[in-house]
Amino acid sequence: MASTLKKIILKSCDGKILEVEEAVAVQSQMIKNMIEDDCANEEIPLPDITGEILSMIIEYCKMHVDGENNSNNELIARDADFITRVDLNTLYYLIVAANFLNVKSLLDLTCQRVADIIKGKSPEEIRLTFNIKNDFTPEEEEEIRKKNAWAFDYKD
Amino acid sequence: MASSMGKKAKHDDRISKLPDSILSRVLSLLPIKDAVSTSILSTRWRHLYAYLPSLDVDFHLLRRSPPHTVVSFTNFMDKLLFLHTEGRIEQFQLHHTNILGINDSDVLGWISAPLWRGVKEVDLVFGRCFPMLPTTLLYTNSGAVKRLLSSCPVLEDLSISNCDLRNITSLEISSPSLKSLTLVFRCNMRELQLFSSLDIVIDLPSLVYLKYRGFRAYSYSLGNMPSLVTADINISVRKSEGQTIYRIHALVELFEALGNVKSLCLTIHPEALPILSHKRFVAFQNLLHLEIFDRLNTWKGKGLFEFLEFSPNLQTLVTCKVSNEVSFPMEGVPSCIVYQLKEFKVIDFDDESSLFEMVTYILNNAYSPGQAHNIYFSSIEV
Repeated sequence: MASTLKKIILKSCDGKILEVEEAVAVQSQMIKNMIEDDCANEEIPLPDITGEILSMIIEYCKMHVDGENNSNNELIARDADFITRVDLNTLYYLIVAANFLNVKSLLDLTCQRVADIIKGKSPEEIRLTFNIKNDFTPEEEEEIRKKNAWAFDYKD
Repeated sequence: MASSMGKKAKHDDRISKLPDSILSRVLSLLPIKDAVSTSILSTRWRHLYAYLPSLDVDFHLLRRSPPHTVVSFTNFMDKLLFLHTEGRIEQFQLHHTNILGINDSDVLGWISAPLWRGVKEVDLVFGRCFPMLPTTLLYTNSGAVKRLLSSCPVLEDLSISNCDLRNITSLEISSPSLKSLTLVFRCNMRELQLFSSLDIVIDLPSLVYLKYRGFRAYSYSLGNMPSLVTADINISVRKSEGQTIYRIHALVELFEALGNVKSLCLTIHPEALPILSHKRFVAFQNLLHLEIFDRLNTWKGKGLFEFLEFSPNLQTLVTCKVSNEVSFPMEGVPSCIVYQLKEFKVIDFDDESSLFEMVTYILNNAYSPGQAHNIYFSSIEV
């Protein structure tokens, strides 16, 4: 009984302390490994994750633990609702945190979101969306276009 | 999305700062064309597409493309699959390969490359008959195998190793042209469970060589194989469960299909052979060469002579271990020993006196002196 109620204490990089039920915390493979190795008895400092992002990740993990008995479609709908509320800036930090904490389902969801944003856009549109600076010389750009002409052959 | 974008994001390119592993993951979720076109975004993105863990190539994207586009695609595929060989490809899918300007040898190479790089899943959907295929398919799933075979009417050699049997209750392989089939399954406890309900359905009328290594399946439905010359059969059963687990009917189904073989290498549980022998199910009229071993190395030769009775024309017998538990039939000596047997080879013998008895028995019963002129022994000493 004691183990099911066990709380894991997480500390964000901006000093926020969050208490999480073990069942929720083990959605993170990293924390799960720490618990198994008996290294999770004191607070776990998370150097690159802010309190805001950490709260979102805990919300997501909780949603998955609580929704375990729900149908697959329901979970997909909740995932979609969760991820579309996220702006690009937050999406980036969520990916970094999901990668660090190793929350596979969240990493899948966030990567899929990025792919969905890229899909169907021209390179110029993608650059604008993510504010990517084109650092190629015109000659280099021409060379890349030539090399894989099939991929840049837009039929407008 | 754009409206909800924070002001900060307008000034900061964060996505490019993500590690390679994440960005390749994102790219592998895109159609190959979108993934490759990201190479022009910036120097950071230039080479990322070369390390995709999952490739989904739909040739549809080349429909109505001018010839120079097809050539540039062909060059791209060659480079991606043959030059960038550091990355591991987990999944490989090819769809609709009937595009003008792409020839079969190109496609064959593109299929082979990921196979040799240990791809786990291969899904090939051909838009037309495909004349050649790689000789070895590793780690494929059976749904893909079925589709692959049905679109390859001249495939001759198929080898499936470590086929994943999860969610499969029936493994069906049917091809009019296949000459050589190798099925090697994992032999662990999970596979044992899966095999207990597995139906193996094989319809290969041109088959010449069959190799099977795995557990005894629930049933075998092997169509007529009139050309079968060589079979190498290694069947595992769990020792502790005793005789009842053989589901002898399934084994008989398998052995009846082997009736025409000239050469048989059989590795089987020590208890199975006597049971099979009692069934008197089949005669191996053409069998000239028999190698018979036991999987657990505890077989004492029981059932061997009964088995030899089914093989009247046997010329070579290779076996392991002959122990004093072997009973030599004084009446009804198997006719192959009397008239045909020329070579007798024992590997890993451990009891000299019973071996001597066996050799004496063979020589004494041979019809013409000097008939069994080649007798070899080799012991494996650890």
